[in-house]
Amino acid sequence: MEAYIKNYMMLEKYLKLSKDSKKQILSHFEGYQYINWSYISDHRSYFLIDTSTRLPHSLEGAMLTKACNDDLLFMQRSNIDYITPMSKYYPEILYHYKPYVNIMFTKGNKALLGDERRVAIVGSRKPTSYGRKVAFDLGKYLAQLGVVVVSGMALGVDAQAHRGALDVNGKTIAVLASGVNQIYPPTNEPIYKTILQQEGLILSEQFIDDMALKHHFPLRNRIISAISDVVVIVEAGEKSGSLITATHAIEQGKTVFALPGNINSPQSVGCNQLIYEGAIPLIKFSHIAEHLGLNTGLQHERVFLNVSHLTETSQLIYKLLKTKKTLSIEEIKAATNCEYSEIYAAVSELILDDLCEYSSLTDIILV
Amino acid sequence: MYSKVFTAVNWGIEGQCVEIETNIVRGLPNHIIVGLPSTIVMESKERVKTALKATHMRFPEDRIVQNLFPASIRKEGAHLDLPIAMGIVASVLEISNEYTQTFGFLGELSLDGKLKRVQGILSLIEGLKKMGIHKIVIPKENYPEASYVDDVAFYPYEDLQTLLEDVKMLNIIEGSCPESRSNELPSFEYDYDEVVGQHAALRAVEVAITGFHNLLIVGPPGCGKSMIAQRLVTIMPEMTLSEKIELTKVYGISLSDHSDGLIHLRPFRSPHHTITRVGLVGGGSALYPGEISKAHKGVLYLDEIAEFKSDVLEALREPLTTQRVHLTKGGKSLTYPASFMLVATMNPCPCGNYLSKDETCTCSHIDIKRYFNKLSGPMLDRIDMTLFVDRVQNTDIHEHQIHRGKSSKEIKETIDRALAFRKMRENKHADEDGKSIYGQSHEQIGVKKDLSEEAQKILNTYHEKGKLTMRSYQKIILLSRTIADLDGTETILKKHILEAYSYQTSNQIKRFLT
Repeated sequence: MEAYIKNYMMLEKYLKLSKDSKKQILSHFEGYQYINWSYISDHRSYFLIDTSTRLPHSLEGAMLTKACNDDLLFMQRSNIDYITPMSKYYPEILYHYKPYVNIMFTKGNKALLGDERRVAIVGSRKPTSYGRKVAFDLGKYLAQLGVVVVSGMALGVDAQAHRGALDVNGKTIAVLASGVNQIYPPTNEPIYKTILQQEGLILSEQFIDDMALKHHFPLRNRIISAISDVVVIVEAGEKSGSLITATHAIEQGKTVFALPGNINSPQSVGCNQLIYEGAIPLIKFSHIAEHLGLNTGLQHERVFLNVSHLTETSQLIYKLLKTKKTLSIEEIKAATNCEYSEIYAAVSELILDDLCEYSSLTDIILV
Repeated sequence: MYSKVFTAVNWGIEGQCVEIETNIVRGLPNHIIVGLPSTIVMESKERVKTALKATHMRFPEDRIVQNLFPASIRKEGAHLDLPIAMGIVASVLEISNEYTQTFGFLGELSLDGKLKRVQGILSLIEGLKKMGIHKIVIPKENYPEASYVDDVAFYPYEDLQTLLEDVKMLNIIEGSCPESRSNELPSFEYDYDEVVGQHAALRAVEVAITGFHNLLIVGPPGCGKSMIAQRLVTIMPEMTLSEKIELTKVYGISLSDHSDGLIHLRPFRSPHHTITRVGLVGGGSALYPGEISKAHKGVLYLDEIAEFKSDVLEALREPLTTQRVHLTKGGKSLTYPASFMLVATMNPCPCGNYLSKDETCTCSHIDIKRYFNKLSGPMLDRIDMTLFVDRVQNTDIHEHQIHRGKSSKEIKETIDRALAFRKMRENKHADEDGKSIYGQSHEQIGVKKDLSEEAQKILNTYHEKGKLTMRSYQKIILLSRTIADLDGTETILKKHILEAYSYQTSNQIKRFLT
C-alpha cells in the first residue's frame, strides 16, 4: 500500500514527466505499486525520459523521496487517509470504470464507505426555493432512516442536502472537487466542519491541498455515483453538472431518482428530461427507502401536530394550509376575511412554532 | 453722530443677533463697513445709497463708518440692507438711540426703495428674540410666515419711504393680524386607493407611520414598492407648529429650495442614488444642510438602496440614532436637526426575481448574498421593519376595478386615532416628561412594563428557543407597542408581539441568505 501511494505521488505530483513516458511506465509495470525506479533509470530511453531528469531511486533523487515522505507524515498527523484500488473500501464498480480512479484521499470516518446504505443527493447550484426545500427535507429524512447522504458540498442543492442530514445528527459524505484540506466553496466551511464533527467523511481524488479546477468537477461526479446505491437529482438545468452524475450513475448501474418539476422552470428541465428518459420520478421520499429495502415506518406520512394551543386564526390558517399546501397572505385574507393584523400575527405564530414557513416573498407552506 | 440698530444673521439654523453701529464724522465722503462683512454685504452700500436717495433723503456727504458686532463671525445675507440703511438714517436724523435700539430690522432693499422678502426669516427672528428684542421691522411679504412666532411684535413695511416717515414721527406701526392663515388640509395628487393589490402591505405602512419606524420594502421590479413609498406623505399626521417652524428654518437656509411662507407638509425627500455624502448629510464650504435635515420630521426615501454608495449609507448611521447631525468644517461647527423616517426599497437580488412567484431568478446564490450584504449589519439594525411585496396577479388588477383598497384618508384616520391614544396614554404616566409623541427617541423606556403576562411569556419562550436575538427582542417590544396603540389597548398583548415579529428585519432577511 505504501509503495502504491509513494509511487503514485512521485509520478503524479513530483516528477514532471511527459504524458507519453507516464503511459509507458504504467503499461510496463501494470500498476503503481510495482514501479521500479532503478529499472527505469537504467532504461531511460525506453521510458522516453532524458538524462537530466532526476529519478527517486538513489541519492540523486533524495530530495524527491524526502518530500514524498513528508507528505505522508503530514497526512498521518492531520488524520488524512487514502483509499487505493486494493482497499476494501474501494467501490468495486470503479475497477472497470474509465477514467480510472487511482486514489481517493479521505478525511473523517472512512467506515462510512463500508456496509452502510448510501444515497447521493445532487442538483443545481442555484435551485429554486422548491429545490432547496426538497433537498433539505430529503437529506433529513434519509439521515433519520440511518442512510448516509452523499453529495458534493457545492452551493445550492448539495449544501442543503448536507444541512438536512446534519440537522438530525446524520452521517454524510462530501465528495470534493478540490483536495480534502481545501474547502471549496469557502462559504460552506460551516458544513465542512460540522461533517467532521459528526463523524462524517470528506472524500476527494485530488491531492490534499489542490485547488478545485474546472475539469475536476465532472470527474468527482463519477465518484459520487459510484459510492452511492441510489442517486437522486434534485433540480438540474438543461446543461447541469448533475446530469453528468446521472449519466455516470446509469453507466454504473445505479438507480436514478429525479425530482419532477414545473415544465416552465429552467431548473427542472434536466430532471424532467431524465424522467422522460426513464429515471424514477421522486413522488414520495419513502419510495427511496423502499428501494433500499428499509423499514419506513418511522415517518411514512406527515404527522399532523396538535395545534390546540394556537389562537383561533392560526388554527384556521393551519387547517387551510393542510388542504391547499401553499397560501399567500392575500389568499388567506380572501378565505378568512380577517384583518391583516390578525393574519400577520397568526402566520408569525405558525412560523415561530415551526409549523409553516415562507416559500416565496408572500407565500407560506407547511414545514 | 453715533447710532446703534439691531439685526441678525444666520448661524446654522439658529439666528445670531448682530449690532450695527454707525458713526458719521466730517471728512472725505466715504462709506466703510467693518466687522467681517461678506461680499454681499459690501455690495449693499450701493443699494442703501440709491434706495435712500429714492426716498428724497439727503445722503450724508461725509465719512460713514459702520461696524458689525460681533466682529468675529462672518456676516452673510442681503437682509442687512435695511439695518445698514436704518443705521445711517438714525445717525443723520439724530433720532434718540433709545427708540431705534428697541427695534430689530430685517429686509433687503431694491434701488427704488422697496423692501424685498428675506429668505430664512424665522431663524433671524429667533436670533433677535434670544437677545431680548421683541419688536422687529420686516418686509411685508414676510409677514404671514413670521407671524407664527410668538412673543414678538412685527412691523411690516412695504417701502423705505413710509418707514422713514414713521420713524421721524417716532411711531412705527405694528402689523395687524395677517389675513387667513390657511389651515385647510392639503390635497395630494395621489392616494393609496390607487395601489392595486398589496393590501397586506398597507397594514405594515400603517404601523410604520404610526411609530415613525424605519421601513425597508423588498420586492421584484414593478411590484409597486415605489408606489407605496411615494404615497406615505398622504397619510402622515400633521406637524405641530414648533415642528413646522423648525422645518421652515432648515429650508430657509438651503439655497435651492425656495419656499414661500411656513411649510405645512411633512417633507418627502427622494435623493437619487448618485448622491454624495455631503449632499446627504450636509456640509460643504458653507455647511449647508443635507437631505437628511431637509427630511426632518418627514420621510427620507432611498429608492434602490443597494445602489447607493456604501460610504454614503454608512454616514446615515449616526443621524439615525441621534436624530441630528453635527457638522464641522474650518473651525465652524453646526448642528442640524435630522429626525427623519428612513424608507428604502430594494430588489431581492440583482435580477430582481429571487423568491418571486411568477418569474425565475437567474442569479447565483452568491450574487444574492453579495447584493444583500450591501446593507451592512449596523444599517439593518437601524431598520425597524422589513416588508416583502410580490407582483400582483392579473386577476387582482381586474378586481381592483370593483373593489379598491383603503384610501389614504381612511388610513390617516386610523393613524391619527392611534396617535391620539398614544398621547393620552403617555399623559397618564405623570412621571414621563412631555416629549413630543411623534418622533420621540426610539428608546424603549417604560414600554416594557406595558407587556402583558402572556406576551412576556411568549417573548421569553421564543428567546430561549433561539428564535429571537436580543436585538430583535427589543425591537419587537417597540414595534408591538405601536401595534397596541393602533389597537387602542394599553397593555401589549400576545397578538401584538406576534404581528411585530412578522415585520422583523433580521428574521425576514434570513429568508434570503439560507
